[in-house]
Amino acid sequence: MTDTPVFEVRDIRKDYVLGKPGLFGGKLRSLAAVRDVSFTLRRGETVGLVGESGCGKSSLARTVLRLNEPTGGEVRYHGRNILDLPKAEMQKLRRHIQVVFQDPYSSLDPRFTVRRILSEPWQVFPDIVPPARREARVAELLTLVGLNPSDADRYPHQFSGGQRQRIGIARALALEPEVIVCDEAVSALDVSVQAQVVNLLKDLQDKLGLAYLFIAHDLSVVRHISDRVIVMYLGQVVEEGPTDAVFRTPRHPYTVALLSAVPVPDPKQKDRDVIVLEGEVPNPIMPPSGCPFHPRCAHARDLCRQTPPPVREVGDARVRCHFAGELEPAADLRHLAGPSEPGDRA
Amino acid sequence: MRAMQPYETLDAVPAPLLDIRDLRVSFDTPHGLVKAVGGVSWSLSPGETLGIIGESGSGKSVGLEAIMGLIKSPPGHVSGQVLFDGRDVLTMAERDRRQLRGEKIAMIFQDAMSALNPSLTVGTQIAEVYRLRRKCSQAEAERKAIELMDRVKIPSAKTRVGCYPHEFSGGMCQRVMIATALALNPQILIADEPTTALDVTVQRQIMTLLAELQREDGMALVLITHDLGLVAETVDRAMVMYAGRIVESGPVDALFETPTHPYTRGLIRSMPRLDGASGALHAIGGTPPAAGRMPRGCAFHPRCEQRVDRCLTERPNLRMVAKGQAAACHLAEETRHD
Ligand SMILES: Nc1ncnc2c1ncn2[C@@H]1O[C@H](COP(=O)(O)OP(=O)(O)OP(=O)(O)O)[C@@H](O)[C@H]1O
Ligand SMILES: Nc1ncnc2c1ncn2[C@@H]1O[C@H](COP(=O)(O)OP(=O)(O)OP(=O)(O)O)[C@@H](O)[C@H]1O
Ligand code: SF4
Ligand code: SF4
Ligand SMILES: [Mg+2]
Ligand SMILES: [Mg+2]
Repeated sequence: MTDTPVFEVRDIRKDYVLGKPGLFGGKLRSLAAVRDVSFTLRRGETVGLVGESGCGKSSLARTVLRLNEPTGGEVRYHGRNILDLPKAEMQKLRRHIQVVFQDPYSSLDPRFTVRRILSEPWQVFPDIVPPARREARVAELLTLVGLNPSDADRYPHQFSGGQRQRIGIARALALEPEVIVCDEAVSALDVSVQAQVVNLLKDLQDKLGLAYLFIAHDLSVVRHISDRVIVMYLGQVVEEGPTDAVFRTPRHPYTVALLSAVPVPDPKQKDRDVIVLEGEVPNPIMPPSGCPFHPRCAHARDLCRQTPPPVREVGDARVRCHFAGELEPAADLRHLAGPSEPGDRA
Repeated sequence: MRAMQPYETLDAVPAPLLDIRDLRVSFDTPHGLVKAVGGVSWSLSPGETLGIIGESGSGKSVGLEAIMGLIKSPPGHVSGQVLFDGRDVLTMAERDRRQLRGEKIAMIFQDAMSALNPSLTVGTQIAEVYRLRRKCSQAEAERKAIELMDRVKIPSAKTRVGCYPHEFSGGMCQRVMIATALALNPQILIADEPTTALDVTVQRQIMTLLAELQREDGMALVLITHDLGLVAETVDRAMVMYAGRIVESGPVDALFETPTHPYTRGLIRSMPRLDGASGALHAIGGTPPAAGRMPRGCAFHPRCEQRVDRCLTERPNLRMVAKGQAAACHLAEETRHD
């Protein structure tokens, strides 16, 4: 089912110039939020994107969508480099590429009712839903995301956090896009509504071949929905591979630490051993020398402190570590074999 | 069960720090009155961690905002009692309430990015309340802000104290909110989905920090979250909300081991599994009630697979079903060990 690349991202880079010069009035500082990231997203495929808070996931997403201007690199949409497209052309493309933003509230216009928020894009792209069908389509979209058709007359501030998040999802679906970038799109939903939305996304994918870039901190959802997973650390991809391979045999020490730290919904496993990442939190303004993970890596050796590791292929995965494939994961990852069935002991 | 009947104490517990009695919140809307919270009672002891889970839209945030005195009226209406140290927060003068907020009770809001002021630096926002209350100098406030940013693991705090919220990632904004709430060492921290934008390693560091503050200063924590793993690992006692009411409450081990209300069971069954079992995820059938149209009888009945006639007309009250565990379901006893 996965064939034509919809998106091909090559060596994309995003530097931010920090607004205020240093305390001593020195030169402007810059922060490399995304450092030479490459990946491909195919039709009908979901690529999960995970990593430490602040490692550059949202920046990567925004840059790929040209909501941020990249500092370097290439983004091909169906083979065409969209970074040189004139604004008007880019505008036309946008209907095929939708985003669900991480912060649902600030992305919904507070002055508009939900009906208007959902149907506004049809003014710009009138061929998607004919005017006579619009009212019914709004009701359909709301029902799909677990809201009620009567919610169409309400304003964003009258909804709960998770309800707003679903308005954002309905809005992305309204344009019948080909790609949806979901930046923490289900993080404010209870697990039942989340299951409903995740099932919906998968259904649409099966029927219409939608592709998703799925950014999330909830690793069980990522595991469930993604075909492939990208793990980022400090602006770089440190591991990439088929979802099962990455979850079953994580190779990069950061991936191992991440998987080890997943909270397990079983109070009996509360005292499980978890890798605690010691050491300084990484500073993206002055990244460490050599391997950026070395100050916190239990396996670090001199080579790691001096030389940035190359990407190595290990099995189906690509891993940015000098010793990829040679390290024993120093963690208890038994919880990845699944929680004990809740509620089945009387 | 204190979550149900604050007057009746089953175990010997310290006097509650916070005692919520029959709290109700509703809103006037052009389409009529919307009941967001329909009468909840619970209490909180010093140092305790209480988890609140439940349906999206079930009144978790609105209920806690009401406790903080943050519901605007009109359109909001709040009734019931919120006793802190024996004084009712709902009837005290706004001045006293403001004093209480921040100093004694602090809240971390759900939408971190929109709760921050986009035109003030993060440092200013973290230390502002501290500077005003402790009447300290700018320089000292900035030192405090940096110290707090370090505590919540924001990298290079010193360089970034002068940044604006839009220069921070989602999870960094969330940590700014947490730092702000901790600035005055509150006795109660109300945290509304405080870690949704954090990866699991940073989440663990933050939860460890909060646990430290609980141990050292006896801070009590109310944690709203949809992350059942987080609930299982961090809270002592949890309440499950559906359609504005508590439908189940009890020690967290009991809730996971013998979930009793059909909604709680449906929720636990809907968890995506970490072991990657494939196929569609289980979701509870049907949709939650539309705003302003609460079903008669048990609010869950349109979606409940085990409903009986009586569920359509008679509302079940929260009642004890086992030691410390209470559920609001007519069939609680019969179906408990299914
Ligand atoms: N507009 C901006 N100006 C300056 N720095 C920025 C800007 N936007 C993001 N950054 C910085 O870039 C880095 C990456 O941020 P980004 O939002 O991409 O992280 P993220 O991986 O999405 O994190 P989270 O999981 O917390 O949302 C952070 O250090 C952040 O502070
Ligand atoms: N200002 C308002 N006017 C009308 N209805 C409101 C208003 N604010 C909230 N509501 C409604 O009150 C109910 C409870 O909202 P609340 O924000 O407490 O939900 P929640 O349990 O926190 O959900 P979530 O998990 O999605 O954050 C929701 O159905 C919401 O639509
Ligand atoms: S290169 Fe060295 S420091 Fe980096 S992850 Fe591998 S072992 Fe650890
Ligand atoms: S009271 Fe009836 S409808 Fe409500 S949860 Fe129990 S069995 Fe289901
Ligand atoms: Mg982000
Ligand atoms: Mg909420």
